[in-house]
Amino acid sequence: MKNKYGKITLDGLIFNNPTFVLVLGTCPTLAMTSNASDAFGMGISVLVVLTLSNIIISALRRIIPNAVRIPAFIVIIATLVTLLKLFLNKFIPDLYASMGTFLPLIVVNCMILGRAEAYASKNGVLASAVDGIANGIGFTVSLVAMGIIREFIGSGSIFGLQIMDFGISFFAMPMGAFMVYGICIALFVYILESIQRAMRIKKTKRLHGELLNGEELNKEEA
Amino acid sequence: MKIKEFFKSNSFKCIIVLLSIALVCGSILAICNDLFYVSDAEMFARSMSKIYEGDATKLNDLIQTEGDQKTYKTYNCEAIVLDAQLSPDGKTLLVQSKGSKCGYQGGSLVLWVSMKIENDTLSGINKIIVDSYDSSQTLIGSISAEYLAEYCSDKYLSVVTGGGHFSNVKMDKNNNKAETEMVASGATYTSAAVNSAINGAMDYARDYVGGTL
Repeated sequence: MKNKYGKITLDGLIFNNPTFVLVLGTCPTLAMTSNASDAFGMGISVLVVLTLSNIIISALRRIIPNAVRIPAFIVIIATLVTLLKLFLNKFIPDLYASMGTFLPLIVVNCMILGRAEAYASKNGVLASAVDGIANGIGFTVSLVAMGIIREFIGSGSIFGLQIMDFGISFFAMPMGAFMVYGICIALFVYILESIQRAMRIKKTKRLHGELLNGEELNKEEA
Repeated sequence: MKIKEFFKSNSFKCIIVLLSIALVCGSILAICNDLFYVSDAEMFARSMSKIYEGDATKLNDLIQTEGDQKTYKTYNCEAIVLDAQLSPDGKTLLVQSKGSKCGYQGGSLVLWVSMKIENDTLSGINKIIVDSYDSSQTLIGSISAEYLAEYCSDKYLSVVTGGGHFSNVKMDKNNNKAETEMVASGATYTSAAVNSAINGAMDYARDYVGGTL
């Protein structure tokens, strides 16, 4: 059971990372990563909506008929996003203002509908909650990483803290976002494949060793 | 299909489930909309605390009715002065100005512009903040606090004190007043609306100190 949740967590965070592996939620990824603070705000917003929508959809999965599952999911996700919008406008107006039109656009974020359709509608509440949290954290970390890179190169600061007086404004602009996104995906996939290759080699060596030991034992016995 | 069969069918179940979900969600939203409602007074207090970085002092209301509002036009843009407040010492004029008809997709945005008044003349801009904007201004993120602070810098002091205006494109080189180009990278149209709102606020202040209002 523990192993199951560990696998869900690792899938959401690394092996099926929504941003760098599945390339989902590209619109907010490109638009909200011009600085790390906005990227963090968007990531947390998606994390909250994703977790809650996964929990609610999972709890209602036996009640919602298959034929109307997509409209039902959309209504639930839209309600959660509207609640988040009202909450942010009331209590964190600066973040609300900086997110602009990309906050209501969370409704049509394919990652949220994708997790609802692919996971929450087929699994239990706890597993869906873990899946939502893991994917949300994976998304947030990816966005913040991109935000830090773009903010540092684009304006010489990190989280608004000025580090250097030099900045290449190209990276703070949309075309810079595409370039940073592409490089991040390439690096992430390269590192991930290197780790997976190393793990495969280690596993093969271990199996090979076990096989040799077994053959030696067989010879001794013979 | 008989009526009795319809009530037992999957179609009926689908309708009932969707209606129930919509009803529950609608009720929750209606309650939360009341709970999290942001009143005009709260919006005003927020804007004031951003300008003064603390609680605002009590200000004299210069615009009390819609009839007091003024419209200014520069460089094919329009600015409507929605509200104006004067500090008790008479040295700070706060103007809420809406730059319209030249934002992205013809949209608009509203700014609060805090201006210095010395010896009955407009002597500079203290601070500018974005109050609100319509949904078409998708690149509003490019209008950062650092960008707005440039309008208040000494670099553009001569424009403010010399009766000039800001534009998002360089105008006729023979007209010095129209030479001041201010544009945020990647948000040219929204910059035009920002410039328009600031131009309107400055013109209102000039009219106020000149006694022509």
